[in-house]
Amino acid sequence: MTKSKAYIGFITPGFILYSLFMIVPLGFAIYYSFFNWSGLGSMECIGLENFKRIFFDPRMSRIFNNALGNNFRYMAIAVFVFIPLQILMAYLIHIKIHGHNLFRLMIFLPYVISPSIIGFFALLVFDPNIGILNNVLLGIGLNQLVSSWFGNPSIAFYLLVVVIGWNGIGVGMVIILANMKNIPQDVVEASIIDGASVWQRFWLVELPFLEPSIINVVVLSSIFALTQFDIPFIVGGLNGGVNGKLDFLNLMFFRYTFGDAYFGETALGFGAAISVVVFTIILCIAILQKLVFSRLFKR
Amino acid sequence: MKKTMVFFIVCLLAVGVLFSAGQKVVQDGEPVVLSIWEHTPQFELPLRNTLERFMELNPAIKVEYEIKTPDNYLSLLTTAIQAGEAPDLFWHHGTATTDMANLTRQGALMDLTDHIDVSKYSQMSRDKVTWEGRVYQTPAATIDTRAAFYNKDLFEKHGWSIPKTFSEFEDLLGKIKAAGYIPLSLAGRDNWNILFLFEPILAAMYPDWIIDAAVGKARIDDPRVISAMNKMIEWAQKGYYGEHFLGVDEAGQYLSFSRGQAAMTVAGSWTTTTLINNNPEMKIGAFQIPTQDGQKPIVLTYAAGFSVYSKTKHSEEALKLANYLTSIESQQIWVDGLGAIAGLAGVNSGSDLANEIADANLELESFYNIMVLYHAEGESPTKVWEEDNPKLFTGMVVPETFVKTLDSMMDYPGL
Repeated sequence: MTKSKAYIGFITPGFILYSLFMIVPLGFAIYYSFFNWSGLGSMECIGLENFKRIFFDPRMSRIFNNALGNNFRYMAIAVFVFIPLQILMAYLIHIKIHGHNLFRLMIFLPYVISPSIIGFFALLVFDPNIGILNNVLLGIGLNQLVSSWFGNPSIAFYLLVVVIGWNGIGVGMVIILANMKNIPQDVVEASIIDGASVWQRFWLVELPFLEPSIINVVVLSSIFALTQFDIPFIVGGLNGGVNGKLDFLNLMFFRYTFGDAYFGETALGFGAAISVVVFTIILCIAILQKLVFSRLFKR
Repeated sequence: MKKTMVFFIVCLLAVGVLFSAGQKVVQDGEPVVLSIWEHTPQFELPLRNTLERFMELNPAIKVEYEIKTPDNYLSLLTTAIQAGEAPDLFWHHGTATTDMANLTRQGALMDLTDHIDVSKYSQMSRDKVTWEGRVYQTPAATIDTRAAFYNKDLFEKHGWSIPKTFSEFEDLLGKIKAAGYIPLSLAGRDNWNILFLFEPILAAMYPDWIIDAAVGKARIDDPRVISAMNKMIEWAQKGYYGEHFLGVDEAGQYLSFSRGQAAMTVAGSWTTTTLINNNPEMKIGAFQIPTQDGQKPIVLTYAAGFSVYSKTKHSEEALKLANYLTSIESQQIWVDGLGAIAGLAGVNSGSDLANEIADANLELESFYNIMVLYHAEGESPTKVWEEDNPKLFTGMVVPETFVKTLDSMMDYPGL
């Protein structure tokens, strides 16, 4: 192998593994999406019927739009609420506020707990009859605040966002914090000498340096928001909670693809169509974000 | 030195020969290992007891069981069959759902017709395991139903008695609520527990509709079904399931009953052992919600057993196990382990509580099974029911439109 072709040797193992576990399954998912197939027995080619059902069947499109809407709502909260919070927390730790080490540990700790366990904790706290929260509220006489929590359609979604946020907010914070530690100190010191306030220093000097980590956190948070499954499944059940308030695309995919033993029904063809749609949405959003960021931070 | 070396080599060879001979003896004496899958932890105890007895009787066969969870059982089984790696025996729904049709079409099930004797079982039980005239599954002697479980201590303390009519039952709910308890704990976010409450209400209010619908002669959008749904919703509005039942899951439903917060809960008969084992100090009773004229209707579904994988490498041993699973002895162990109601002559119900549950005089088909039996080709009313029934309580779905949607997915043979 000539020196100029050496890269092929480095790329090949990764490329083979990536193709085997990503490209090939994706190809199969696209292929199956054109079939009516339970996963067993004969496969009936039905063209685009599965996709038509997702988008145009009145009932199915309602379920799909509701789930997609929940994904987008969560993504918006993740990007516009969680990321500013993550930057703020990272900054507070960076400037070493009192107790910053404990603060960092407290924020990051929930991330090391499995989402399934987090979901279980949430049930222990928020169960209307036996949960800790209602019992505490009743115990201190705040009966008017007692609620069915995840069973209350007006607050269930936001409660879920809080639980997921508590679980994962530390990751973005750590990424941003790592970036903050690499900001050239001479620039920061120069701004101090020039008389910049703490706010000016952060906004005008340090924040622009955080561009790479913020872009990463935005992309990762968006993908995470569009692939929600475990905690909504545990706290809301397979059918997406009360009035579908906790329904997400992945939950819908699981419900229709595998059903459950009681349903006695699996629909791998239809499920494959849902997965193709979800993949396309994620891909489009990732491309859109890339375009927006490349324009926004164009130098 | 040379002699010593030779001596050592000879010794090593001798030990090697003896060891390999010993290994051969162990291999010959090793039992054949069968694998079996069950779909829910609730059936672990009866399965374990049954298999232990089978292995006692057949020391040359070892059976290893795996308990899966209902939410992914079918997908795991399907994947295993596709990969040619399915267990030797596995549970499925039989003809109650599309399981049997799919699995036989795929050639995944061994034809057991000439290998097991199902003649002693009832016709309903045999129907559950028979497809196109051939038997593909072991039948089960357990009858599944739903019942109102109640806390006997609370009933005694407050002087409440088991209702004899539907009106008395409604009055009782009011009295319990007035006494500060949850009359009927209910998992409002779990569509299955809502079904298990709705079916006894429908059976108690309109048994005549179920009798007609069971033979395809009554529509689902019948005013009687709407009326039963409205009754279930009315009880929610009166707070009979607790003020915040919409956020309660199945575990929460049982726990509030166990902790004495709820005086009653309506649940499946298969939960009997779970309720007894988790509440050893609690005196639990059970009854069927009565009709207005004092009848005691019971919604019945027959359970199904295990199929033998058509590609099993141990067909002789697997058939031996299938045969045992069909026997009276095995069924008695199963019924005892589950505390279930027996549906086969020679098998006694598993507990006093099971006998209380079975104290009924009107056997009725399940509402869910009616949807399974008479759904139109390519339609799945059960899925719509499962997705939307909790929405009845929030008003997002109203009974009139809900039953219309279900009805549009049905094909009634008697109409």
